[in-house]
Amino acid sequence: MRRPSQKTLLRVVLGVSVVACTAGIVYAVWYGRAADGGRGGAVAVAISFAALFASRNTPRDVLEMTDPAKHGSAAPAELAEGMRRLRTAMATLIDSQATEKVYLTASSVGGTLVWGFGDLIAAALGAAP
Amino acid sequence: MQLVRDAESFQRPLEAAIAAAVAEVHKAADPVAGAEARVRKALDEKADLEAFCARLTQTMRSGAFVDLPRLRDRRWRPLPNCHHLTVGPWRGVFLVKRDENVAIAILFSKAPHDLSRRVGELAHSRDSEAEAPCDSEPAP
Repeated sequence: MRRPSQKTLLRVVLGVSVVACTAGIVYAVWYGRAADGGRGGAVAVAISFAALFASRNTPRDVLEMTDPAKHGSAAPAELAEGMRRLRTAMATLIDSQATEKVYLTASSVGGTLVWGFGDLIAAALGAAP
Repeated sequence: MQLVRDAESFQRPLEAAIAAAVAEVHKAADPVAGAEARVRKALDEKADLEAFCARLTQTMRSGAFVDLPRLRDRRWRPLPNCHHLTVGPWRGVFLVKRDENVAIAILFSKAPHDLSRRVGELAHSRDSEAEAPCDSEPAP
C-alpha cells in the first residue's frame, strides 16, 4: 500500500492534535481535575514535532530517480536533465514547506495554547479545582 | 512459452510510457502549488512501471503466463484465455494459447482501463490507415 501524500499526512496530524486537545479538556472536566486540562495540548505539540521529522523524501527521490528508458541509470548524462531534476526537486521542497507551514503552525500553536491554558478552560467548563 | 507482442497496442504504448516516465515527473512539478503530491504520484507510477517491466521479464523467463490472474468482464466473468499483469496503474493483457505454447501481448494500458474503448480506438485507427492516400505515388 502506498503511503499517502504529505498534505494528507499533515491533515491527519492536525486532526489528531485537535482531538488530543479536546480529549484532554473533556477528561479534566469529567474525570480529573482542572490541572489535567493541558495534557492533551502536550500530546498535540509532541505529535507536531514528530511530524516535522516524518515528512516524505520526495526531493531526494527526484534527484536520485532512475530513468527506465536508460536501463536504470541514475546519473543524468546531460546538463539540461540535471537542471530539470534540480528544478523539480526545488518545486517539491517549496511546496512541502508551504504545506508544513500551514498545518504544523496550526497544530503546534494550538497545542501549545491548550498546554498552557487548558487548566483554565477546564475550570471554566466545570472541572474540579 | 514464446511471447509475441502486438506492436500497435502493446509494444508502442509500453515504450512510450517508459520514454515519458521521467518527463511526467518533471511535468508534475509545474506549477509549484501542489507539486509535492503530483510529483509523488508520478514517482510512484514510474516505480510501478519499472516493477511491471521486471515482472514481465520474469514471466517471460518462466513462461508462466497462465499463472497470471484471469481477465474478467464487467460482470466478473473470466474471458477465455485472457490473463493480465497489473502493477499499480499499468496493465498488460495477454492471450495465452496453451496448445501452441504461445502468449500474445495484446494490450498495454494505464488506469482507468477500458478494454472495449481501447479495442474501438485500435479498430478506428486501423480503418483510418487503410483509407489514407498512398504517399509513395510518384509526382506527375
